Amino acid sequence: MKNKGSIFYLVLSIVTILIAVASIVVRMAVDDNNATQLVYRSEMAVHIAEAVTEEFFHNTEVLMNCKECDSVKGVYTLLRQELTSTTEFPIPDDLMFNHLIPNSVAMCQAITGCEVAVIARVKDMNEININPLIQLDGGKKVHKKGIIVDKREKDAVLEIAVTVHYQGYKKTLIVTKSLKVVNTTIQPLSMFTMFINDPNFPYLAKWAASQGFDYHKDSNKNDKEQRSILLDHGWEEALGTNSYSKKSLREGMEEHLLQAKVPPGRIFINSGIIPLTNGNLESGMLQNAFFSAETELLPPKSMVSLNEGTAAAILSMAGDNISEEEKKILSNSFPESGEIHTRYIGHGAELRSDVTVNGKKRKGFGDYFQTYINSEEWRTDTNRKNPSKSGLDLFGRVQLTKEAREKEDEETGIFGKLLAVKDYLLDQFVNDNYNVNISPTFVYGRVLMSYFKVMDYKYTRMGAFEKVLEERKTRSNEDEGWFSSLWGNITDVFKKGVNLFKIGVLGPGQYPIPDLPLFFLEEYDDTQSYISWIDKDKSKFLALGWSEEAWLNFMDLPSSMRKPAFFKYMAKMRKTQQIFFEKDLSKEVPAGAILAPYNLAIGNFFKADNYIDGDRSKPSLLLKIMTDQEKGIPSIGLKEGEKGGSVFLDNPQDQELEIKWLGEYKSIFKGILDPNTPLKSVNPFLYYRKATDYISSIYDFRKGGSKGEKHNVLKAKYFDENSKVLEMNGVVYIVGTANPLRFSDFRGDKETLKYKGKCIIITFGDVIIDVGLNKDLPKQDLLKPDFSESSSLMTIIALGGIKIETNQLIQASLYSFMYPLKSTHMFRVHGMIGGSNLDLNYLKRGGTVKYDPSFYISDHSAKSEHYYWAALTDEIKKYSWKVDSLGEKLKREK
Amino acid sequence: MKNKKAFTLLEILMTITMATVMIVPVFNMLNLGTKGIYKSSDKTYAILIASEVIEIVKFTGFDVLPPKEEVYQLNDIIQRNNQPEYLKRNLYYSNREYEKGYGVGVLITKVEGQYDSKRIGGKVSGLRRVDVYIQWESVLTKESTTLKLSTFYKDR
Repeated sequence: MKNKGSIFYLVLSIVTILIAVASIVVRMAVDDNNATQLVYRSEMAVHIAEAVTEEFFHNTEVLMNCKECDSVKGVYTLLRQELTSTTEFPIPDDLMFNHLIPNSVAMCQAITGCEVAVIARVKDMNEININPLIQLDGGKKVHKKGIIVDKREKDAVLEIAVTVHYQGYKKTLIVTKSLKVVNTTIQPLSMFTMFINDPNFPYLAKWAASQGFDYHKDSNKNDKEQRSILLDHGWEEALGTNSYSKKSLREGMEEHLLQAKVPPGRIFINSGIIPLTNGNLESGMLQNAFFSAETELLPPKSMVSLNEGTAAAILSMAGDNISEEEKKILSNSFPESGEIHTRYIGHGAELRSDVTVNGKKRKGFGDYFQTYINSEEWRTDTNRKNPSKSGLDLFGRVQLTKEAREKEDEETGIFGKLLAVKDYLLDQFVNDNYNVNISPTFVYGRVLMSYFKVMDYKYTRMGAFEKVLEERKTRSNEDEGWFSSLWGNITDVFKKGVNLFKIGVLGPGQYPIPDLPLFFLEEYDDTQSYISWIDKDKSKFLALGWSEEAWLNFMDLPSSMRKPAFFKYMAKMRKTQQIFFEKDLSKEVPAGAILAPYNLAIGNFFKADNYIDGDRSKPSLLLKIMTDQEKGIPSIGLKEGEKGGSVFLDNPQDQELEIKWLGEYKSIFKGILDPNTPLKSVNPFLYYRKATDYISSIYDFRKGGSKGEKHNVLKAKYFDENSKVLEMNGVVYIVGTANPLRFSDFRGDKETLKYKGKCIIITFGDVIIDVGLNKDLPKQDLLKPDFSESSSLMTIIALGGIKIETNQLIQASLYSFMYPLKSTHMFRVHGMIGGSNLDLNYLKRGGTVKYDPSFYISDHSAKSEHYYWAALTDEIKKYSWKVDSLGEKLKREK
Repeated sequence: MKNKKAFTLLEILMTITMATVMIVPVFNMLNLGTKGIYKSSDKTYAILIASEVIEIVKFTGFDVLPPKEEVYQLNDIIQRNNQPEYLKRNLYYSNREYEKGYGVGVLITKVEGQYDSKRIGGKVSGLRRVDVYIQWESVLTKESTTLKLSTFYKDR
């Protein structure tokens, strides 16, 4: 029996083993199945959670930049508010589930056993300070002063925690992305921002104008082009039209320009002389209105070769007939080396728009430029030579005095005074309808007063102005008091020397001062020269060929101008100024044209009626309101409570002048950059911290297919193949320099490229603009500055320089750093051009830049939410699947 | 008869009967386990395929795979795919594996969002949903199984 059953045991053992094996296999299968289920659930949860995060980031990114969507929960506005101590805000649940992730949640709910819980917030909001860090003595690192921090800009994190429950399986996915809110415009950082490069003097000397009035017609009775009248930036806005037909120009003048809608300031580099008048009364009036309102003239460098010898020659020419005072003025006006320094002073918006001074709203600086403070301070030789205090530096009129800051107020402060003065004068001088401002073109350096300005005297035969004339005449006849005395006090240059101008009141129509022949003037000796011509002298003038009308116009001049002495002086001026140019200039100057150095022009001798009836105890209203020493003159731009100090930024030119003037010189870059920061230390590439998109290389050759074709990353990201429009927002930073950014690559042809959105492109490489670059707007709006939310702006900053290879219109703000701007074509830029240096040798003649004020930052953009772009960068700061408790932690924190 | 150590027929028959009775469920268990393992293996593979296809779709341009009512076959995606060559090769080899027993269908639909009329900084806005269907037939049971993974994705 012992052996009996052994087979049974054997079988039993085998079966047992088999059962064990089977059990293991079954167990393995079960485990495997469970594992598979886990994998499946995990994958499901992952993809559901990713769907939630994708939808969340997608919708949030749109919502952040969609003002009309802002009614949802104010994310748009919240992100654009100035930073406070609060560094985060949650995304509300109802916003989340109803607007940001509705589809992904619905997808989950459609799956049995799936639930989603989400928490999201914007956190770690910090300012974007792009200034470099410097280490202090104690080791502490602080940002160097430079670009003023924009408190609306933010560097933040957008975080979402998604907890997915799927068939009893629960996981939390936490994803954070970098969020940036940046301004899409950039401050002007350049030494120059705009210029008209058309230095061909003979060409200009013909007084040709591509826009504006012809002074005569050619033999075919066609309007002759007058290329020297360059209606550059801002005129479209001012005139209300971009069409310059004779009719529209006239209408534009009447309807817009004369209502103070003058274009903003501009700088001409290497522009030729512009004719002042041309003998034709009508065209002269209009041209002069242009010039007198906006044009500052520079003798081109190539034509000015002034040295001591030349200067002496001019003085010699002037001889003993001019006063010592005048000699000083003249000598100070000579360019020392022919160098022309020009510098941006703003595009005009900040000058025209309201400003806040000492916490109070003021009208823009535009009013300021017409005014010269009637103070002895400005009459001293020292101050007169100081570019910041001469009549050429309009900002220089703003004197920083302690008293002024303390006592400034709305009505009696300097702005109030200036407005009152201007209104008063204009009322007296013209009428209430006119408010013509001098555009704040700023030219300084060693050429200073060698630029010219039209002599202007208001007159018009246009119906709308006849009333003005009548009023003036009536006023003149009835009241020899204020008006007459005003003119009567025009400086007698031969006796009293030169008073710098105080108020440059310019008129709606321009009447060229008649050019009286020398033989006629020589009939008057020194004594007679100071006696005004009156009615009984009419026959003498008619004998010269004058018309009755011309005589009447002449008589409308103030009596102090109707003196032989004045005309003798003007003749001398014409003679003197011509040496600045070419010998045969006089041949080119149309009859009746009058050229006069700016500071010696009639406006500069416009002198206020200081004392009523000469009684020093009775200061005139003008003097009173202009020289209220108790009120003083305020500074501009200082915040309430701030005391003293320079508020302007130095640039190399400023520094040079600062050294020369030992602190007396005031820069004008206030408000844009911190005080005392050299402009040269401002590196636009520090803007990388504001980048909303980084492009390591413009071309990705890996994606180029087997043939190694270039795949344009920018094009793939930003170019809409259907509409053929480049749509770009934010700050796009291109690091790669291997290939230039060539704009024809987008469309692939030579057609003008249109763009939408507000963006700054910063590249370390070079940029080739070989096609037009236009805002995607209807054609008729192309030239108008557009400050609207839907407006498009593109600023291109290239460390490798910018080269323009097209004459199609470029609507962009261009900054060519390290390398000067180059052009192979007569380019047309509507925007700005800036750079660290300018070399005209690289520029084909004839390029023009028309300023578009909508590119500028500090005025409109800083106040308008739509200039700010909120972006999620591609950078995922955190992607965590691990710890569900993070979600719980977030929930607790919430 | 002397050989009493030998098994009797009855013993053998009983043993065989017992063994048969006992082994059949054991083999069934083994079979079940094996099938389970195969099934799990198939499903795991299907999940991997689905995940991989989802990733491929997510990194394929919107214009390459536009939404449509019918599903895309894997070959469609390979042909349309503009991924770099090396990725396409991977996909190709993977497909050769997949096509042995797996059918892949990719359904792409547009997600109608509240803000889809907008563009984000130049990028075409809009969200898409991808549903990847993997169908396979069990080698052992010939049973057909379908698995689906879904997610949303943006244009890259």
